[in-house]
Amino acid sequence: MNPPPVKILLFSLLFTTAFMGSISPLFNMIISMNSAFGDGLTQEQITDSLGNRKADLLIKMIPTVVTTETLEKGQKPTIEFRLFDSGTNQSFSHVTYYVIVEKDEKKLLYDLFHDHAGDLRIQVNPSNTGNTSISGEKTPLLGVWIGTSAKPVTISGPIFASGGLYHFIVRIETVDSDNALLPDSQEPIYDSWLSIGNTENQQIDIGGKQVPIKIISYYDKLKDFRFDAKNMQMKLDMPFNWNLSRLENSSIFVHEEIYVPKPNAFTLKGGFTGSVNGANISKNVVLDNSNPYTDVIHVMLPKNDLLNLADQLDKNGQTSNGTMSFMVQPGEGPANSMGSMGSMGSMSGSNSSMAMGNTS
Amino acid sequence: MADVTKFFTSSPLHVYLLILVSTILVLVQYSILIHPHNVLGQNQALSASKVQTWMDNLSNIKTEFTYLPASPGIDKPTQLKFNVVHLQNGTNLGDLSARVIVLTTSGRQERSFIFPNVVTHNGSFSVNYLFPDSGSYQVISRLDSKGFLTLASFSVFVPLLAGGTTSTNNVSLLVFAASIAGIIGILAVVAVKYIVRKRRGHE
Repeated sequence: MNPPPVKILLFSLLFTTAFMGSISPLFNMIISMNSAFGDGLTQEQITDSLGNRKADLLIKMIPTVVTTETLEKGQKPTIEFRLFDSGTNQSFSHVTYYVIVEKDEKKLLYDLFHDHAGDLRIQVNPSNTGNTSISGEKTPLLGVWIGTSAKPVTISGPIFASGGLYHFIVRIETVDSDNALLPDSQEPIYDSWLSIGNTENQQIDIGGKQVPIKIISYYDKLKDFRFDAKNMQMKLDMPFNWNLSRLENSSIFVHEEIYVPKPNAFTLKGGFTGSVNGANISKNVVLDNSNPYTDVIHVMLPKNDLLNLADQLDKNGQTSNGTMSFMVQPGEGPANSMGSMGSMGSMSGSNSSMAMGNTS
Repeated sequence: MADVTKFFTSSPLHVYLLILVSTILVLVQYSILIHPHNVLGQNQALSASKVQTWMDNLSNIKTEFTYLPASPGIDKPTQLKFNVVHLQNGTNLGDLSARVIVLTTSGRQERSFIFPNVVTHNGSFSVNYLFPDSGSYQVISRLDSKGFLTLASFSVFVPLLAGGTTSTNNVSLLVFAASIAGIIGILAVVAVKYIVRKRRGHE
Protein backbone atom coordinates (compact mmCIF):
# COMPACT_ATOMS: atom_id res chain seq x y z
CA MET A 1 0.00 0.00 0.00
CA ASN A 2 1.43 3.38 -0.93
CA PRO A 3 1.75 5.91 1.90
CA PRO A 4 -0.62 8.87 1.74
CA PRO A 5 0.70 12.14 0.24
CA VAL A 6 0.59 13.93 3.62
CA LYS A 7 2.89 11.37 5.12
CA ILE A 8 5.30 11.64 2.20
CA LEU A 9 5.29 15.42 2.40
CA LEU A 10 5.98 15.54 6.15
CA PHE A 11 8.61 12.85 5.94
CA SER A 12 10.34 14.63 3.07
CA LEU A 13 10.33 17.93 4.95
CA LEU A 14 11.84 16.45 8.09
CA PHE A 15 14.41 14.41 6.20
CA THR A 16 15.45 17.31 4.00
CA THR A 17 15.83 19.58 7.03
CA ALA A 18 18.00 17.05 8.82
CA PHE A 19 20.07 16.25 5.75
CA MET A 20 20.59 19.82 4.60
CA GLY A 21 21.38 20.99 8.11
CA SER A 22 24.00 18.36 8.61
CA ILE A 23 25.87 18.90 5.38
CA SER A 24 25.19 22.55 4.62
CA PRO A 25 28.74 23.71 5.43
CA LEU A 26 29.99 21.49 2.63
CA PHE A 27 27.25 22.35 0.21
CA ASN A 28 29.13 25.01 -1.70
CA MET A 29 31.95 22.67 -2.51
CA ILE A 30 31.95 20.21 -5.32
CA ILE A 31 35.42 18.97 -5.10
CA SER A 32 37.42 16.43 -6.97
CA MET A 33 40.33 14.53 -5.55
CA ASN A 34 43.66 14.57 -7.24
CA SER A 35 47.10 13.77 -6.01
CA ALA A 36 49.83 16.05 -7.19
CA PHE A 37 53.52 15.37 -7.12
CA GLY A 38 56.57 17.52 -7.04
CA ASP A 39 60.25 17.14 -6.33
CA GLY A 40 61.82 20.51 -6.15
CA LEU A 41 64.40 22.54 -4.39
CA THR A 42 63.46 25.59 -2.43
CA GLN A 43 60.05 26.38 -3.91
CA GLU A 44 57.31 24.49 -5.65
CA GLN A 45 53.89 25.26 -7.00
CA ILE A 46 51.75 22.17 -7.37
CA THR A 47 48.46 22.21 -9.23
CA ASP A 48 45.23 20.59 -8.13
CA SER A 49 41.58 21.58 -7.97
CA LEU A 50 38.70 22.10 -5.56
CA GLY A 51 35.50 21.72 -7.51
CA ASN A 52 35.53 24.24 -10.29
CA ARG A 53 38.31 26.22 -8.64
CA LYS A 54 41.98 25.67 -9.27
CA ALA A 55 43.77 24.91 -6.04
CA ASP A 56 47.51 25.39 -6.37
CA LEU A 57 49.74 24.86 -3.40
CA LEU A 58 52.86 26.97 -3.17
CA ILE A 59 55.49 25.53 -0.86
CA LYS A 60 58.32 27.97 -0.47
CA MET A 61 61.39 28.18 1.68
CA ILE A 62 62.31 31.61 3.04
CA PRO A 63 65.10 32.49 2.42
CA THR A 64 65.48 30.63 -0.82
CA VAL A 65 68.94 29.28 -0.05
CA VAL A 66 69.15 27.01 2.93
CA THR A 67 72.22 24.86 3.35
CA THR A 68 73.81 23.00 6.20
CA GLU A 69 76.35 25.80 6.31
CA THR A 70 73.78 28.60 6.64
CA LEU A 71 71.91 26.59 9.24
CA GLU A 72 75.06 26.12 11.29
CA LYS A 73 75.39 29.89 11.30
CA GLY A 74 72.01 30.16 13.03
CA GLN A 75 69.65 30.53 10.09
CA LYS A 76 66.02 29.73 10.94
CA PRO A 77 64.18 29.17 7.70
CA THR A 78 60.44 29.64 7.32
CA ILE A 79 58.27 27.44 5.15
CA GLU A 80 55.32 29.09 3.48
CA PHE A 81 52.26 27.11 2.46
CA ARG A 82 49.81 29.06 0.35
CA LEU A 83 46.71 27.49 -1.16
CA PHE A 84 45.33 29.67 -3.89
CA ASP A 85 43.25 29.71 -7.03
CA SER A 86 45.80 30.17 -9.79
CA GLY A 87 43.02 31.42 -12.05
CA THR A 88 42.42 34.47 -9.86
CA ASN A 89 45.56 34.43 -7.67
CA GLN A 90 43.26 34.64 -4.65
CA SER A 91 44.20 32.65 -1.57
CA PHE A 92 41.67 30.25 -0.15
CA SER A 93 40.51 31.25 3.30
CA HIS A 94 40.24 29.18 6.48
CA VAL A 95 42.62 26.55 5.22
CA THR A 96 43.59 23.70 7.51
CA TYR A 97 46.69 21.85 6.36
CA TYR A 98 47.66 18.37 7.50
CA VAL A 99 51.41 18.41 7.06
CA ILE A 100 53.63 15.34 7.13
CA VAL A 101 57.39 15.76 6.80
CA GLU A 102 59.60 12.76 6.12
CA LYS A 103 63.26 12.23 5.46
CA ASP A 104 64.78 8.94 4.41
CA GLU A 105 61.31 7.41 4.94
CA LYS A 106 61.33 8.46 8.59
CA LYS A 107 58.39 10.59 9.73
CA LEU A 108 59.68 13.75 11.39
CA LEU A 109 56.41 15.66 11.71
CA TYR A 110 52.70 15.11 11.33
CA ASP A 111 50.31 17.75 12.59
CA LEU A 112 47.50 20.10 11.68
CA PHE A 113 48.07 23.76 10.89
CA HIS A 114 45.66 26.54 10.07
CA ASP A 115 45.64 30.03 8.72
CA HIS A 116 42.43 31.97 8.32
CA ALA A 117 43.91 33.78 5.31
CA GLY A 118 45.23 30.54 3.82
CA ASP A 119 48.88 31.63 3.97
CA LEU A 120 50.50 29.37 6.55
CA ARG A 121 53.99 30.08 7.85
CA ILE A 122 56.06 27.61 9.84
CA GLN A 123 59.42 28.62 11.20
CA VAL A 124 61.91 25.79 11.60
CA ASN A 125 64.57 25.67 14.30
CA PRO A 126 66.70 22.68 13.29
CA SER A 127 68.25 20.72 16.13
CA ASN A 128 69.66 17.26 16.51
CA THR A 129 67.22 16.30 19.23
CA GLY A 130 65.23 13.22 18.40
CA ASN A 131 61.79 14.69 19.04
CA THR A 132 59.90 17.43 17.26
CA SER A 133 58.24 20.08 19.39
CA ILE A 134 55.81 22.77 18.24
CA SER A 135 55.03 26.10 19.84
CA GLY A 136 52.44 28.68 18.92
CA GLU A 137 48.76 29.39 19.21
CA LYS A 138 46.04 26.84 18.63
CA THR A 139 42.47 27.09 17.42
CA PRO A 140 40.11 26.56 20.38
CA LEU A 141 37.94 23.83 18.91
CA LEU A 142 40.10 21.46 16.89
CA GLY A 143 43.36 22.36 18.62
CA VAL A 144 45.08 23.13 15.32
CA TRP A 145 48.26 25.20 15.25
CA ILE A 146 47.87 28.70 13.81
CA GLY A 147 50.75 30.08 11.76
CA THR A 148 50.44 33.46 10.12
CA SER A 149 53.01 35.54 8.26
CA ALA A 150 53.13 37.91 11.23
CA LYS A 151 53.26 35.17 13.83
CA PRO A 152 54.47 31.87 12.43
CA VAL A 153 54.20 28.66 14.37
CA THR A 154 57.62 27.37 15.42
CA ILE A 155 58.89 23.83 15.06
CA SER A 156 62.05 22.63 16.76
CA GLY A 157 63.59 19.27 16.02
CA PRO A 158 65.39 17.25 13.38
CA ILE A 159 63.65 18.91 10.42
CA PHE A 160 66.37 20.48 8.23
CA ALA A 161 69.01 19.40 10.74
CA SER A 162 70.84 17.64 7.94
CA GLY A 163 71.14 18.25 4.24
CA GLY A 164 69.21 16.47 1.52
CA LEU A 165 65.64 15.98 0.45
CA TYR A 166 62.69 16.47 2.76
CA HIS A 167 59.43 14.93 1.66
CA PHE A 168 56.35 17.06 2.33
CA ILE A 169 52.90 15.50 2.13
CA VAL A 170 50.21 18.13 2.51
CA ARG A 171 46.53 17.33 2.72
CA ILE A 172 43.90 20.05 2.78
CA GLU A 173 41.40 19.39 5.57
CA THR A 174 39.24 22.53 5.39
CA VAL A 175 38.72 25.50 3.10
CA ASP A 176 36.23 28.38 3.37
CA SER A 177 35.23 27.33 6.89
CA ASP A 178 37.27 26.37 9.94
CA ASN A 179 35.22 23.33 10.83
CA ALA A 180 33.68 22.01 7.61
CA LEU A 181 35.92 19.04 6.97
CA LEU A 182 36.44 17.89 3.40
CA PRO A 183 35.61 14.20 2.96
CA ASP A 184 38.56 11.96 2.22
CA SER A 185 37.61 11.55 -1.43
CA GLN A 186 37.63 15.32 -1.94
CA GLU A 187 40.74 16.34 -0.06
CA PRO A 188 43.60 17.42 -2.32
CA ILE A 189 46.90 15.80 -1.38
CA TYR A 190 50.13 17.42 -2.47
CA ASP A 191 53.48 15.64 -2.64
CA SER A 192 56.58 17.76 -2.62
CA TRP A 193 60.25 17.62 -1.82
CA LEU A 194 62.29 20.53 -0.54
CA SER A 195 66.07 20.41 -0.49
CA ILE A 196 68.52 21.50 2.11
CA GLY A 197 71.83 22.02 0.40
CA ASN A 198 74.50 19.86 1.88
CA THR A 199 77.67 21.87 2.10
CA GLU A 200 81.03 20.15 1.97
CA ASN A 201 84.37 21.91 2.10
CA GLN A 202 87.23 20.16 0.35
CA GLN A 203 90.79 20.89 -0.71
CA ILE A 204 91.98 20.06 -4.21
CA ASP A 205 95.48 20.07 -5.60
CA ILE A 206 95.76 22.22 -8.71
CA GLY A 207 99.30 22.56 -10.05
CA GLY A 208 100.76 21.67 -6.67
CA LYS A 209 98.71 24.29 -4.91
CA GLN A 210 95.98 23.46 -2.42
CA VAL A 211 92.76 25.20 -3.38
CA PRO A 212 89.76 25.27 -0.99
CA ILE A 213 86.51 24.47 -2.73
CA LYS A 214 82.91 24.20 -1.54
CA ILE A 215 80.35 21.77 -2.89
CA ILE A 216 76.63 22.15 -2.26
CA SER A 217 74.53 19.12 -3.08
CA TYR A 218 70.85 20.05 -3.19
CA TYR A 219 69.45 16.60 -3.87
CA ASP A 220 71.18 14.47 -1.29
CA LYS A 221 74.29 14.34 0.80
CA LEU A 222 77.42 13.30 -1.09
CA LYS A 223 78.84 10.02 0.06
CA ASP A 224 82.23 10.38 -1.62
CA PHE A 225 84.45 13.04 -3.14
CA ARG A 226 87.71 12.45 -5.00
CA PHE A 227 89.99 14.66 -7.06
CA ASP A 228 92.44 13.32 -9.59
CA ALA A 229 95.07 16.07 -9.84
CA LYS A 230 96.82 14.42 -12.78
CA ASN A 231 93.71 14.28 -15.00
CA MET A 232 92.01 17.25 -13.30
CA GLN A 233 88.94 15.11 -12.66
CA MET A 234 86.52 15.89 -9.87
CA LYS A 235 84.42 12.88 -8.85
CA LEU A 236 81.34 13.03 -6.62
CA ASP A 237 79.15 10.13 -5.54
CA MET A 238 75.61 10.61 -4.29
CA PRO A 239 72.90 8.09 -3.30
CA PHE A 240 70.20 7.96 -5.97
CA ASN A 241 67.22 5.75 -6.65
CA TRP A 242 67.18 5.16 -10.40
CA ASN A 243 63.78 3.47 -10.44
CA LEU A 244 62.15 4.63 -13.68
CA SER A 245 58.56 4.65 -12.45
CA ARG A 246 59.59 6.72 -9.44
CA LEU A 247 61.25 9.24 -11.73
CA GLU A 248 58.26 9.30 -14.06
CA ASN A 249 55.87 10.00 -11.19
CA SER A 250 57.75 12.95 -9.78
CA SER A 251 59.01 16.30 -10.95
CA ILE A 252 62.61 15.77 -10.13
CA PHE A 253 65.68 17.95 -10.46
CA VAL A 254 69.24 17.17 -9.42
CA HIS A 255 71.54 20.08 -8.76
CA GLU A 256 75.15 20.21 -7.58
CA GLU A 257 77.15 23.40 -7.11
CA ILE A 258 80.94 23.55 -6.95
CA TYR A 259 82.51 26.80 -5.71
CA VAL A 260 86.09 27.38 -6.81
CA PRO A 261 87.95 30.59 -5.93
CA LYS A 262 89.29 32.72 -8.81
CA PRO A 263 91.66 32.51 -10.53
CA ASN A 264 92.13 28.79 -10.99
CA ALA A 265 93.20 26.38 -13.68
CA PHE A 266 90.09 24.25 -13.23
CA THR A 267 87.67 26.84 -14.58
CA LEU A 268 90.15 28.73 -16.76
CA LYS A 269 89.07 27.17 -20.06
CA GLY A 270 85.43 27.85 -19.32
CA GLY A 271 84.30 24.55 -20.87
CA PHE A 272 83.71 21.27 -19.05
CA THR A 273 83.31 17.62 -19.75
CA GLY A 274 80.88 15.86 -17.46
CA SER A 275 79.47 12.39 -16.97
CA VAL A 276 77.10 10.49 -14.72
CA ASN A 277 77.86 6.81 -14.22
CA GLY A 278 79.93 7.08 -17.39
CA ALA A 279 77.21 8.66 -19.55
CA ASN A 280 78.02 12.03 -21.06
CA ILE A 281 76.24 15.01 -19.47
CA SER A 282 78.62 17.77 -20.61
CA LYS A 283 75.72 19.93 -21.78
CA ASN A 284 74.36 19.90 -18.22
CA VAL A 285 77.51 21.43 -16.74
CA VAL A 286 77.28 25.21 -16.57
CA LEU A 287 79.67 27.84 -15.32
CA ASP A 288 78.50 30.92 -13.44
CA ASN A 289 81.41 33.34 -13.52
CA SER A 290 79.47 36.45 -12.53
CA ASN A 291 81.06 36.64 -9.10
CA PRO A 292 84.45 38.42 -9.16
CA TYR A 293 85.95 36.14 -6.52
CA THR A 294 84.39 32.75 -7.03
CA ASP A 295 83.40 30.64 -10.01
CA VAL A 296 80.42 28.37 -9.54
CA ILE A 297 80.09 25.21 -11.58
CA HIS A 298 76.49 23.97 -11.72
CA VAL A 299 75.66 20.40 -12.64
CA MET A 300 71.94 20.37 -13.37
CA LEU A 301 69.88 17.37 -14.41
CA PRO A 302 66.21 18.09 -15.17
CA LYS A 303 63.63 15.32 -15.21
CA ASN A 304 63.78 14.52 -18.94
CA ASP A 305 67.55 14.15 -18.84
CA LEU A 306 67.29 11.97 -15.73
CA LEU A 307 64.73 9.75 -17.45
CA ASN A 308 66.97 9.35 -20.48
CA LEU A 309 69.95 8.63 -18.25
CA ALA A 310 68.00 6.11 -16.19
CA ASP A 311 66.83 4.35 -19.33
CA GLN A 312 70.31 4.32 -20.82
CA LEU A 313 72.06 3.22 -17.63
CA ASP A 314 69.44 0.61 -16.86
CA LYS A 315 70.22 -1.14 -20.15
CA ASN A 316 73.89 -1.19 -19.18
CA GLY A 317 73.14 -2.44 -15.68
CA GLN A 318 74.58 0.68 -14.08
CA THR A 319 71.63 1.67 -11.94
CA SER A 320 71.54 -1.17 -9.45
CA ASN A 321 74.13 0.25 -7.08
CA GLY A 322 71.83 3.14 -6.04
CA THR A 323 74.51 5.71 -6.77
CA MET A 324 74.83 8.72 -9.01
CA SER A 325 78.56 9.17 -9.78
CA PHE A 326 79.46 12.54 -11.24
CA MET A 327 82.69 13.32 -13.02
CA VAL A 328 83.58 16.87 -14.00
CA GLN A 329 86.80 18.00 -15.65
CA PRO A 330 87.88 21.02 -17.67
CA GLY A 331 87.14 20.59 -21.35
CA GLU A 332 87.61 22.25 -24.66
CA GLY A 333 85.10 24.30 -26.53
CA PRO A 334 82.87 27.19 -25.62
CA ALA A 335 81.72 27.38 -22.06
CA ASN A 336 78.15 26.82 -21.01
CA SER A 337 77.98 29.98 -19.02
CA MET A 338 75.29 31.87 -17.22
CA GLY A 339 75.04 35.30 -15.74
CA SER A 340 73.19 34.40 -12.62
CA MET A 341 70.99 31.66 -11.22
CA GLY A 342 67.95 33.88 -11.52
CA SER A 343 67.49 32.62 -15.03
CA MET A 344 66.95 29.13 -13.63
CA GLY A 345 64.00 30.20 -11.59
CA SER A 346 61.54 27.98 -13.32
CA MET A 347 62.50 24.46 -14.22
CA SER A 348 59.06 23.17 -14.92
CA GLY A 349 58.08 19.61 -14.42
CA SER A 350 54.85 18.06 -15.60
CA ASN A 351 52.68 19.72 -13.02
CA SER A 352 54.88 21.89 -10.94
CA SER A 353 57.47 24.57 -11.14
CA MET A 354 60.47 24.92 -8.94
CA ALA A 355 63.07 27.48 -8.15
CA MET A 356 66.48 27.44 -6.68
CA GLY A 357 68.56 30.06 -5.07
CA ASN A 358 72.00 31.45 -5.53
CA THR A 359 74.53 31.83 -2.81
CA SER A 360 77.12 33.48 -5.00
CA MET B 1 -33.60 0.96 9.79
CA ALA B 2 -36.07 3.77 10.24
CA ASP B 3 -34.67 4.45 13.70
CA VAL B 4 -31.20 4.77 12.32
CA THR B 5 -32.34 7.21 9.64
CA LYS B 6 -34.18 9.22 12.27
CA PHE B 7 -31.09 9.29 14.47
CA PHE B 8 -28.98 10.83 11.71
CA THR B 9 -31.55 13.34 10.55
CA SER B 10 -32.96 14.41 13.90
CA SER B 11 -29.98 16.49 14.97
CA PRO B 12 -26.75 17.91 13.45
CA LEU B 13 -24.98 16.81 16.60
CA HIS B 14 -25.65 13.23 15.67
CA VAL B 15 -24.12 13.84 12.25
CA TYR B 16 -20.99 15.31 13.76
CA LEU B 17 -20.74 12.42 16.19
CA LEU B 18 -20.92 10.07 13.24
CA ILE B 19 -18.14 11.95 11.45
CA LEU B 20 -16.00 11.85 14.56
CA VAL B 21 -16.43 8.14 15.13
CA SER B 22 -15.84 7.37 11.45
CA THR B 23 -12.70 9.47 11.32
CA ILE B 24 -11.29 7.89 14.43
CA LEU B 25 -12.04 4.45 13.09
CA VAL B 26 -10.38 5.25 9.75
CA LEU B 27 -7.29 6.68 11.42
CA VAL B 28 -6.98 3.79 13.83
CA GLN B 29 -7.44 1.33 11.01
CA TYR B 30 -4.85 3.18 8.92
CA SER B 31 -2.42 3.18 11.77
CA ILE B 32 -2.91 -0.52 12.46
CA LEU B 33 -2.75 -1.61 8.85
CA ILE B 34 0.10 0.55 7.70
CA HIS B 35 2.20 0.68 10.83
CA PRO B 36 1.21 -2.16 13.09
CA HIS B 37 4.47 -1.82 15.05
CA ASN B 38 3.30 1.56 16.37
CA VAL B 39 0.39 -0.06 18.06
CA LEU B 40 2.60 -2.81 19.31
CA GLY B 41 4.72 -0.10 20.93
CA GLN B 42 8.23 -0.80 19.61
CA ASN B 43 10.61 1.41 21.54
CA GLN B 44 13.11 2.96 19.18
CA ALA B 45 14.87 4.69 22.02
CA LEU B 46 16.61 1.43 22.85
CA SER B 47 18.37 1.11 19.49
CA ALA B 48 21.40 2.99 18.18
CA SER B 49 21.47 5.11 15.06
CA LYS B 50 22.82 3.90 11.76
CA VAL B 51 26.62 3.73 11.56
CA GLN B 52 28.27 6.70 9.90
CA THR B 53 31.76 6.17 8.49
CA TRP B 54 34.62 8.56 7.84
CA MET B 55 37.55 7.30 5.77
CA ASP B 56 41.14 8.47 5.96
CA ASN B 57 43.03 6.68 3.22
CA LEU B 58 46.23 8.63 3.85
CA SER B 59 46.45 7.23 7.40
CA ASN B 60 44.60 4.00 6.55
CA ILE B 61 42.03 4.75 9.23
CA LYS B 62 38.29 4.31 9.31
CA THR B 63 36.26 6.01 12.04
CA GLU B 64 32.76 4.70 12.70
CA PHE B 65 30.15 6.70 14.58
CA THR B 66 26.78 5.90 16.09
CA TYR B 67 24.62 7.55 18.70
CA LEU B 68 22.24 6.15 21.26
CA PRO B 69 19.30 6.61 21.33
CA ALA B 70 18.74 6.80 17.60
CA SER B 71 16.32 9.61 18.30
CA PRO B 72 18.10 12.01 20.66
CA GLY B 73 15.94 13.97 23.05
CA ILE B 74 16.47 17.57 24.01
CA ASP B 75 18.31 17.86 27.33
CA LYS B 76 18.45 14.09 27.62
CA PRO B 77 21.75 12.20 27.57
CA THR B 78 22.78 10.91 24.17
CA GLN B 79 25.75 8.61 23.90
CA LEU B 80 28.06 9.47 21.00
CA LYS B 81 30.05 6.35 20.19
CA PHE B 82 33.19 6.05 18.09
CA ASN B 83 35.14 3.08 16.84
CA VAL B 84 38.47 3.44 15.06
CA VAL B 85 39.59 0.68 12.74
CA HIS B 86 42.71 0.11 10.67
CA LEU B 87 41.64 -0.02 7.04
CA GLN B 88 44.05 -2.71 5.92
CA ASN B 89 43.70 -5.36 8.60
CA GLY B 90 40.40 -4.31 10.17
CA THR B 91 41.79 -4.31 13.69
CA ASN B 92 40.87 -1.71 16.28
CA LEU B 93 43.52 0.85 17.04
CA GLY B 94 44.94 1.29 20.48
CA ASP B 95 46.96 4.06 22.10
CA LEU B 96 44.72 6.86 20.90
CA SER B 97 44.21 10.33 22.25
CA ALA B 98 40.74 11.57 21.38
CA ARG B 99 38.99 14.90 21.32
CA VAL B 100 35.30 15.32 20.47
CA ILE B 101 33.67 18.56 19.43
CA VAL B 102 29.92 19.08 19.08
CA LEU B 103 28.90 22.01 16.91
CA THR B 104 25.60 23.49 15.88
CA THR B 105 24.29 26.59 14.20
CA SER B 106 20.67 25.84 15.01
CA GLY B 107 18.93 28.62 16.87
CA ARG B 108 20.78 31.10 14.64
CA GLN B 109 23.87 31.09 16.79
CA GLU B 110 26.98 28.95 16.64
CA ARG B 111 27.42 26.83 19.70
CA SER B 112 30.10 24.32 20.50
CA PHE B 113 31.10 21.92 23.21
CA ILE B 114 34.48 20.24 23.55
CA PHE B 115 35.35 16.96 25.22
CA PRO B 116 39.11 17.58 25.33
CA ASN B 117 40.63 14.35 26.65
CA VAL B 118 38.43 11.37 25.99
CA VAL B 119 39.55 8.04 27.36
CA THR B 120 39.82 5.41 24.64
CA HIS B 121 39.90 1.65 24.94
CA ASN B 122 41.10 -0.51 22.08
CA GLY B 123 40.04 2.03 19.48
CA SER B 124 36.62 2.68 21.00
CA PHE B 125 35.43 5.65 22.98
CA SER B 126 32.22 7.47 23.76
CA VAL B 127 30.90 10.64 25.34
CA ASN B 128 27.49 11.53 26.71
CA TYR B 129 26.03 14.79 25.50
CA LEU B 130 22.79 16.62 26.26
CA PHE B 131 21.61 18.31 23.10
CA PRO B 132 20.22 21.67 24.22
CA ASP B 133 17.90 22.17 21.29
CA SER B 134 16.47 20.52 18.23
CA GLY B 135 18.23 20.76 14.91
CA SER B 136 21.33 19.55 13.12
CA TYR B 137 24.59 19.04 14.93
CA GLN B 138 28.09 18.36 13.62
CA VAL B 139 30.22 16.01 15.67
CA ILE B 140 33.95 16.15 14.98
CA SER B 141 36.49 13.73 16.35
CA ARG B 142 40.20 14.37 16.43
CA LEU B 143 42.42 11.38 17.02
CA ASP B 144 46.11 11.61 17.80
CA SER B 145 48.26 8.54 17.78
CA LYS B 146 51.85 7.62 17.25
CA GLY B 147 52.44 8.13 13.56
CA PHE B 148 49.18 9.72 12.47
CA LEU B 149 46.50 12.24 13.22
CA THR B 150 43.03 12.14 11.80
CA LEU B 151 39.88 14.24 11.85
CA ALA B 152 36.40 12.92 11.20
CA SER B 153 33.04 14.63 10.89
CA PHE B 154 29.57 13.23 11.52
CA SER B 155 26.03 14.55 11.80
CA VAL B 156 23.28 14.16 14.35
CA PHE B 157 19.72 15.37 13.97
CA VAL B 158 17.78 16.14 17.10
CA PRO B 159 14.03 16.19 16.44
CA LEU B 160 11.70 18.73 17.95
CA LEU B 161 9.79 16.18 20.01
CA ALA B 162 11.58 14.07 22.56
CA GLY B 163 11.78 10.51 21.39
CA GLY B 164 10.65 11.47 17.93
CA THR B 165 12.54 10.68 14.82
CA THR B 166 12.29 11.46 11.21
CA SER B 167 10.88 8.01 10.58
CA THR B 168 7.52 7.37 9.01
CA ASN B 169 6.29 5.81 12.24
CA ASN B 170 6.32 9.01 14.20
CA VAL B 171 5.07 11.06 11.30
CA SER B 172 1.91 8.94 11.17
CA LEU B 173 1.48 9.27 14.91
CA LEU B 174 1.79 13.02 14.63
CA VAL B 175 -0.81 13.07 11.85
CA PHE B 176 -3.12 10.92 13.95
CA ALA B 177 -2.82 13.11 17.04
CA ALA B 178 -3.25 16.31 15.05
CA SER B 179 -6.33 14.92 13.32
CA ILE B 180 -8.00 13.92 16.60
CA ALA B 181 -7.28 17.29 18.15
CA GLY B 182 -8.64 19.11 15.12
CA ILE B 183 -11.81 17.07 14.95
CA ILE B 184 -12.51 17.44 18.66
CA GLY B 185 -12.02 21.18 18.38
CA ILE B 186 -14.38 21.55 15.43
CA LEU B 187 -16.91 19.33 17.10
CA ALA B 188 -16.82 21.35 20.29
CA VAL B 189 -17.47 24.58 18.39
CA VAL B 190 -20.35 23.07 16.45
CA ALA B 191 -21.89 21.55 19.57
CA VAL B 192 -21.77 24.82 21.44
CA LYS B 193 -23.38 26.62 18.50
CA TYR B 194 -26.08 23.95 18.28
CA ILE B 195 -26.90 24.12 21.97
CA VAL B 196 -27.04 27.93 21.93
CA ARG B 197 -29.32 27.90 18.87
CA LYS B 198 -31.61 25.29 20.44
CA ARG B 199 -31.95 27.30 23.64
CA ARG B 200 -32.80 30.40 21.66
CA GLY B 201 -35.46 28.36 19.81
CA HIS B 202 -37.04 27.32 23.07
CA GLU B 203 -37.10 30.92 24.23
